[in-house]
Amino acid sequence: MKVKDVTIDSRSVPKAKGYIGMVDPEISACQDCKVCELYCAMIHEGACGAELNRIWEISETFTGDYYVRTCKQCISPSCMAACPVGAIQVDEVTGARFIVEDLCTGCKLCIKACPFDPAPINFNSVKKKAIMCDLCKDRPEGPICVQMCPTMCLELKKY
Amino acid sequence: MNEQFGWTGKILRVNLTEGTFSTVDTMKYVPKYIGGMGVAHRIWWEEMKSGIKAFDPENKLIFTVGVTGGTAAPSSGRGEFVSISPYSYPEQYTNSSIGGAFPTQLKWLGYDGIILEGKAPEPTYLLITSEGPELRSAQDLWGMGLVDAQEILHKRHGEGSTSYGIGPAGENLVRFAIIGCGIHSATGQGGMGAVMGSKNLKAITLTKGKHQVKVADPEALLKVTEDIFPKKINHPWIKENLADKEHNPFWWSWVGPNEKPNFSINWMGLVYNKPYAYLSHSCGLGCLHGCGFYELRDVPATTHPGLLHAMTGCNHTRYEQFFHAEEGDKFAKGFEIHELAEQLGFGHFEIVYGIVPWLYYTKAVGIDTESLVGMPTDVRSVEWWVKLLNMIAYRQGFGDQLAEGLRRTTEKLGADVYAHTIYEGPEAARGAAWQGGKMKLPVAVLGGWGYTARSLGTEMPFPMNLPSMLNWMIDTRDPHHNKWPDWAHQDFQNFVMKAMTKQEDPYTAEFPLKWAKLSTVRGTIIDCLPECFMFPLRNYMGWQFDEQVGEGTWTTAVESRIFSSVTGQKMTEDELFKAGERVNTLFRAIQIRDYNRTAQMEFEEIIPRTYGTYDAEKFKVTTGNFYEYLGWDRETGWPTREHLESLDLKDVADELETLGKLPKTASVPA
Ligand code: SF4
Ligand code: SF4
Ligand code: SF4
Repeated sequence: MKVKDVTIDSRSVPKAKGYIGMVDPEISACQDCKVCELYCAMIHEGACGAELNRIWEISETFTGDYYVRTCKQCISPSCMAACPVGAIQVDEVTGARFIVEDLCTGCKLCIKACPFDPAPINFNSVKKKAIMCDLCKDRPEGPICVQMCPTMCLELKKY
Repeated sequence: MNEQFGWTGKILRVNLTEGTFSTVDTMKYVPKYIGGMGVAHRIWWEEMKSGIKAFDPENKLIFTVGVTGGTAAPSSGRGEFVSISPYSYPEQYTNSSIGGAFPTQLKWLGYDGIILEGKAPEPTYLLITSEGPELRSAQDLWGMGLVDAQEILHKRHGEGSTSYGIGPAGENLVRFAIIGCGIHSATGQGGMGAVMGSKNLKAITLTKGKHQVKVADPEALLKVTEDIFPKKINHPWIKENLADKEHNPFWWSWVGPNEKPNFSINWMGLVYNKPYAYLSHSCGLGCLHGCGFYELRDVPATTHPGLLHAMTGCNHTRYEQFFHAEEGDKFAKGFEIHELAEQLGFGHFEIVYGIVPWLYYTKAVGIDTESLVGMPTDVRSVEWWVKLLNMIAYRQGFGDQLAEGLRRTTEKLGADVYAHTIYEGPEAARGAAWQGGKMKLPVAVLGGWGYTARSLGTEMPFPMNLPSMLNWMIDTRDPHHNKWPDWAHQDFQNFVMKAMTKQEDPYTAEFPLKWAKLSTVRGTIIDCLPECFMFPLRNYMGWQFDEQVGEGTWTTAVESRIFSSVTGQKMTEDELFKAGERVNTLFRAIQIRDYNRTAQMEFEEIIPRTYGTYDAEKFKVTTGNFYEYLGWDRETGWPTREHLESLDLKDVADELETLGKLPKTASVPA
């Protein structure tokens, strides 16, 4: 993969086809199983671990709140603007903002630049690479988290 | 092996007395013993001996996660505790499983298990982070409720931390105390919480790790998961009654495919929770469906100010059932005592199927237990429950005796009167409205080996209970939570029908032997992988599939596919079944070596609990047939050398022979 123009204007990139979010809990709610996290990690990395998921199911087990967090596929992605080597690119088909693993230097500037705290970008400390939701762009079936969520409480939300 | 898949390769050993840590190589034991419980059994065989009591510092408490733990394998988020059980009567080695995020996170910290040895000099908790393990003082947590202490630990160690721990019942060595994971899961069997308490260990807390558990063939694992994925149903917050079939998504699991009022609805149906909404919650990570455990929040306590957040479901709804016919906010009443029992850290079964019904039935038949307890028995009074539960957890007054469990209590008082007296009348929880008020039960509803149980020779008639009687016989706990013989299966019904129409003598039929062996080995495999007990029972539990992937009762093909896709090591269905048999036979060898198990002992344990519904002589023949069917000697119940060697357990045969515990003449397996 070629290094893209690092001065890319992140405001002019095409929109992603959506981002992963939760359905109305009146329709279906999260059962706290982390199937989404586990499959996300396994399909991308061939392994599971706390540093390999690109979606987080937050278990507030002592108050009974369960919700997911992942990349919002911002229209103007500040992570992309912050990356000094152009490792964050846009998939032509899905519009997903994604990190090209070979290019990522592990500088974590994307994590700092993301307006969300904590940023929905994981850091694989073994490979020293940042990883983020890519809308499962390489899967013809689409996002595995949505496909596998047993309660159907995840969906691809449109802008 | 260049790359290691599934297993992390090491088990943490913690010497609580010395405060030291070391590791054990998991790979010495796998794939021969599969993983999880199988590995724990082998370690037990190698490191333990007879003569140790449950609360001795020499007793060990081993927690293991199987080979699929920490991966995306379905229902892989469970683990297994093994120890000498203080609840089993007499004390014996047993196992109990538990879920939550803990098993997965332990793998992600790089461990396949934890061996806890010795006794900490003061209240302690074990903290494992990516920096390694350490022991910390739990002086400030000791005495605190199980859930409350874990909430504090969660705040202390941050988002993503998770704990297992005990409540006051475990601290005070109540023999049926649990180890719990917040409100969501617990080791219901064995009294593992009391073992933890005896070691001065309040909790084990894990933070996020950095270990990555590799899967050899992710696509194959995805395929097998999709094959076994039940039809999805929405799980919204439900504002209707649990007893309402239109709204309870697990109704069909509860009542069975024909919606007959079976045992399930008997246990779970009559709970009127309105106006409190409930949410289905999984017991552990990787769950594909849920099985009918519900979380409720903001339910007001009725005796103390405050709002409750707790779980109910399956046969634990018994607490709420005690109040379902009452006036007013009846759900809140049952839920409050349920939550209290969770905080105190009790195994619910002993309370709601054992001790409380026993107090109710003894009173009804005129056996005075009220003056023992020191208060009139009133199972519809929340205040009475609160007093009783606290008496037991803190061992006050007669609570000190009840903390020993119902079996030990009735043996002490005189079992003939206090256990075996037959009661006829309304069932304790549901009152006269249930089945026209007709129940006939011994006042102490006990199964084998000290465990309170519903279905041993009581709720289920002969010959329906024959296969499960065999399960009970060779176990050291209630086998029905992990080794269920699929009662709803067509083959099972055919067996009962043939017996009823006198086409076949059930005592000499092959079916009960086959059925009991299959469910035992299958249940063993479940605890080694791990996976959910629902898999083999997928039809029984009413799961719906787009396409049927084998009914699960006769086959463990799904399990072998899961094993192979995670590890990359080809394991056929037959090979996995044989490995399950090996693990179960090793478990048998431990019972024989350390607890002098014999056929005679098992017969004498089971037959009194059939309350005259069995022909003892004929049952003796069945038990002999069963031992032979398992490759064990029909007279002693001990595995033969041939059988042990066929399972590659020659060293076990040698050790048993040295102890004079190999059968003299080899009998050929049927
Ligand atoms: S898979 Fe669905 S139900 Fe399970 S944790 Fe993720 S969002 Fe929640
Ligand atoms: S990582 Fe953060 S900044 Fe980048 S697209 Fe996602 S949400 Fe936006
Ligand atoms: S869409 Fe794919 S990459 Fe994004 S969170 Fe879901 S599974 Fe992970």
